[in-house]
Amino acid sequence: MTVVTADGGPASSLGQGTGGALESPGGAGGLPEPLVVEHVSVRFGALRALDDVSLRAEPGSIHAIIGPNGAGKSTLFNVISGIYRPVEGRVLLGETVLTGRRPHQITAFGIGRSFQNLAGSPYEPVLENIMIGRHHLTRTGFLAAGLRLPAARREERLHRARVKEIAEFLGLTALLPVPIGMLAYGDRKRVEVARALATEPRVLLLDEPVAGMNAAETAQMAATVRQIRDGLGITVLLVEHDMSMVMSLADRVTVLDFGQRIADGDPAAVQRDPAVIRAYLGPGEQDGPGESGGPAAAEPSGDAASDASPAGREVAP
Amino acid sequence: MSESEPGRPTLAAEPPQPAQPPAASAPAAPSAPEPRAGRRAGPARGGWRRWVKPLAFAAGAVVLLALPFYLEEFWLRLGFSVSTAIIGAIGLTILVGGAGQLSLGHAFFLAVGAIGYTWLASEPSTLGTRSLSGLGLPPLLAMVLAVGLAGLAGLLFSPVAGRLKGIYLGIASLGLVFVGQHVLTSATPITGGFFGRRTPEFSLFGFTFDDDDPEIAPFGIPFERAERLWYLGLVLAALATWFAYGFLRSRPGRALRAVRDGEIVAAVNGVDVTGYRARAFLVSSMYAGLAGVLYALSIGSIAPESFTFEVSIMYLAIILLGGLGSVGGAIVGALFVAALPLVLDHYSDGLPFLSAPGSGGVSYAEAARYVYGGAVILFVLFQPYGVAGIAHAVRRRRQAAAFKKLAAAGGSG
Repeated sequence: MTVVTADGGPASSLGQGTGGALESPGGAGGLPEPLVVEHVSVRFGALRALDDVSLRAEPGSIHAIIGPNGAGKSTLFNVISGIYRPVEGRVLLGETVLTGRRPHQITAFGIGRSFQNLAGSPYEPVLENIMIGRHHLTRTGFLAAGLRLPAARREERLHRARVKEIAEFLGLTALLPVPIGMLAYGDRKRVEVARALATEPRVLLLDEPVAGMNAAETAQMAATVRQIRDGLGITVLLVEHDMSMVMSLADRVTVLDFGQRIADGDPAAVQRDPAVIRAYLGPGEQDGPGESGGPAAAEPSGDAASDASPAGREVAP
Repeated sequence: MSESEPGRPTLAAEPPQPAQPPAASAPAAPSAPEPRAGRRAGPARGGWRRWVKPLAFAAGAVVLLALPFYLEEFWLRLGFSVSTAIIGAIGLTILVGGAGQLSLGHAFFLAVGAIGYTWLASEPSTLGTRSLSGLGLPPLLAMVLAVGLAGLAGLLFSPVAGRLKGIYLGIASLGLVFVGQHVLTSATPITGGFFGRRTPEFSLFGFTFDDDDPEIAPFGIPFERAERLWYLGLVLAALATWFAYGFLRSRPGRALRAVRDGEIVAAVNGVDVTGYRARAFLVSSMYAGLAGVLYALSIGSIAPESFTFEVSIMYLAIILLGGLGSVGGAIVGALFVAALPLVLDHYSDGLPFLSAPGSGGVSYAEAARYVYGGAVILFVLFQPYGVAGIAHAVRRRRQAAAFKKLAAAGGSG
């Protein structure tokens, strides 16, 4: 597993596949720090949406979180980004405790997130929708913006330029003036990722970035995610149902089922894990646990989430 | 908090390094001279098209500036009322349309502005048995401070405004209107009580906005109170519009829209949702405060009946008709809703179905209410995005055409 980080200095840039080169802003790398989830539990009434879940995403790696529907994957994302407060446990970025802070503060600490559902303002163009990611990096207030002070205009110009770079990285340049409501589904998903990248995160949470995409779009997105790790040195936490993508991309995989961590390890090991196969296929159905086509062949089915509970809904923002 | 390593917070504070462009954008940025991406959607614009907007704008400005030379007093006073409504409506549309928050308390902030100005600018006096207090400040200062007072009132309410959303804030803010009514009727030394008190005329460094002092008559047309106030309203409404466009099209406006379109997504994008709701309320109340000052000037006095719940509803009707969140829409809506009753009154002699107030028939004020009430219903049913929605639809159709052309040319993936 190659861990490439951009610590300090001008980061390496990769310009292939999807779009142009994107460089991480100078000095943004800082010290590479892992994202650590320590014994996190979340309850909705009697239901344990997350039960003592721990994981450690190494800096500069792609860490996938998989599990059947209702396993608690999005709940975990919501805990990391501060939308839910766990009853036990905590989340740290390096030495910094994130738990207990408000979502916008956590964003400022370098946690970016793309959403599973189509987010954003449908009537606003792509550029504006990505610009919102720059919010915590900018300072212009009502007065400065209303009076069009030079500092405000300069800030706007600089950040627009950066957003255009990010859009180019995701192959969205031609779509910048188009309202996102008019975009195809796959394009909108890419806008989501661009928006999350625009927050200049050190850890990027991607919630099902290829769900609903066709094969070509999926391959493109996989290449993009790889570039985000290798070129920008960003740690990627990936929730995804597309098993072939997960297995080919991830450096490490954590498997959740009914709010509990049932496996954690490198993709190959997880694929062979009997508990994982049981979770996906149900008990008694495993014929040959070592079979390579295990969970990869098994698209998680809806009936795995027989608990029609809040966790099953997993907070649609 | 203190355990966060020192390198960390600087990321948040640091703007992207401007020194990079040579490396980053040189190979793949032929787009350098384009100032605004929004302009790129259209097919290569003909030279004349670029001039349409500024020319129309200049022509409009010239007409508005010249109107006092041609219009009689009634229309000028109408114009001042419309300017007032425009400022108030922009304030409300920032809150309701921009941030997705409902306020029924707009009348309260109008009242704060109106009372504030009247009290700050008046000399102490006695009226019959009532003694009225006042600070006798210069009117311009009084106006600024009155807007500040309205902002202060908004700030005091903003802990509530930040935490409640949508309709819940609507209900909470409704309470403000009744507080305002109570204060207006009972704080007699300041407000004049039930019967109200006169509002001092506005003046600017010795130039009063009254019939004379100094007398001026450019091109032989005497510029009296109505003419002077017309220009005051025009300038202030233009400034209010300019200011609102400035922040709505920039970072604060984006943050407000993000909060409106999904608070969780907004928060994850780094927007302090509570803070921005509160700020929207603060800005909105300051706009209302300024509108209140102008309203007091246009009526010439303040009284409790001027700041009832109905006024809040009228402002909601304005922004609904205009299109929520649209400054241009607020202007069109204000033109319609604020002008209608006065126009109906003006022509009531010629309109067969109207009768004088109190004589049993439909008075002009009632008729106007029926008309814009009906218009609100029709708009909600058939054109929920208001006048601005119509403009948007046209623009979108043009964008869609451009987009199709772009896709046909193999522009995107």
